[in-house]
Amino acid sequence: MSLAEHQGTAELDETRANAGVASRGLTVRTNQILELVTAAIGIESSAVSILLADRDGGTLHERASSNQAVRAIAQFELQYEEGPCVEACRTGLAVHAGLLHDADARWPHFAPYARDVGVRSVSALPMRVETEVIGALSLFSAEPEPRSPEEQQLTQAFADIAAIGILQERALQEGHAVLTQLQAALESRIVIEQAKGIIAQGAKISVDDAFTLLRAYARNHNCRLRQTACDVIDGTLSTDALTSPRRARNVSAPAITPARKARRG
Amino acid sequence: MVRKIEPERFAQIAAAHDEWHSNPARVLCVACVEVLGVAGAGLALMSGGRSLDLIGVSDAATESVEQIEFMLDEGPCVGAYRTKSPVFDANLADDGTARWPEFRRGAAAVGVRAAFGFPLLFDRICIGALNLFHDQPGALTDDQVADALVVAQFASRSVVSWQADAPPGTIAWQLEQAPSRPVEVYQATGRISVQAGVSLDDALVLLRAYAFSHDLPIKDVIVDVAAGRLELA
Repeated sequence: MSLAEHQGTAELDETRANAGVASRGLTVRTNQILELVTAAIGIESSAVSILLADRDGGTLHERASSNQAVRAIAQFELQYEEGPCVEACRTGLAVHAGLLHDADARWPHFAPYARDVGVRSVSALPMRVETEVIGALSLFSAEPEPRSPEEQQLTQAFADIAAIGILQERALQEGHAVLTQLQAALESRIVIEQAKGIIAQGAKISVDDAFTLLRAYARNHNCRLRQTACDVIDGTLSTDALTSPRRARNVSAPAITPARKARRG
Repeated sequence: MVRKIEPERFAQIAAAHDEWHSNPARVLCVACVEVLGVAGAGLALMSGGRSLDLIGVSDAATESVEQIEFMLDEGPCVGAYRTKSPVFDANLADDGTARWPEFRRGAAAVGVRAAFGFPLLFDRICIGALNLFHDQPGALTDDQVADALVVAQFASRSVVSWQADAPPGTIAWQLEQAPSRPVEVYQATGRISVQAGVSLDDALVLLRAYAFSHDLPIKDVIVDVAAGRLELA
């Protein structure tokens, strides 16, 4: 391999490695975010949860939580459609609140429940990319003191990173779906062209006329064009059957040559 | 220090071409030629181990060479697709190997002396290749390799974006503008499989053998067989 080829390969390997990281899945990424936030805030009595909206920006669901207790809190919010995370998703604004005073008016169901399980303050940061809010990253703490401005900023930064990562993951998934579609359409075209050649030769007609026969047969028998083409290629459907449309399929017709059955596209 | 073009800059160059709105795949090839200073460029989509679609070429000489690659699945872009790595041949006439016989014959006929294939990658899958051709033997510079990687990534993203906008079940119009879609090879192998009573794969072998033994350009044989003017058995 030449030096330039090596360089090209090295760059490709790097690109591939990055892509591999991206595609290892949302779970890894969001768990990493949870750990990073907890470590950065530096308070053991905090726990983190990430809520995510579905692709159409509709239903929220709990995506990742640093422990079972905070997962239960997040699910409580979703069930009652009330609480700091839900509010951050809905408004796109950060929520920083203590739960010991004045919170019951704001969250009549959530505040008492959260206090009962030991949460004394909450922060919920919207996960936003440009104008779209795709979810929220929330911090539940046993400490009643609110987060400092530095901590608030830091947590918002993590929320922003998580948002970008999630959108990238979605773009990859959508890209894969698109490419699968494209591949199927291009491969259909190949088998259709091969079938046209087979029919044209067998019936001694042009490939265009062969296509007309193929399409008519598929339509009359309610089959997909690609399936009909595959049947022609593997010998299930003989050219005779195509040129005599009234004859039912699978009625034995003499094959053109014995080798027909062996043909594979 | 290797410099490479920024994707945004390449996008600007491409969008400045009149044809960008009618044949963007061709424009990508033309812009690639302009930026890298090679003689020709082509874009092909591949899957399942074989060529699916030639979507753009910068010029007629490149088109004839790319058609050979497409029809016979041989050449650097096929190599790049299969290995998911760049595949270079800086001196097609004399590289000490016997690989790609038909491709090299076709390349020599139009004055292509060097060929460089770069895989088109999306996430971890390879969807095709960007081919560069030059009319002089010699390796690409480091800058050219770096630029080619940027162009290849840009092309991959463009293909995905175009197809994402296509109505379901159809092929994006941007991928159907190449001057001659070489579907004739599929029609020809279909015909030959009946003529000779062989499989489609063997039909392709017969077709190549015929062209070689009669010293005919493979494209001519394919077109004549597809049209029913020539029977091989």
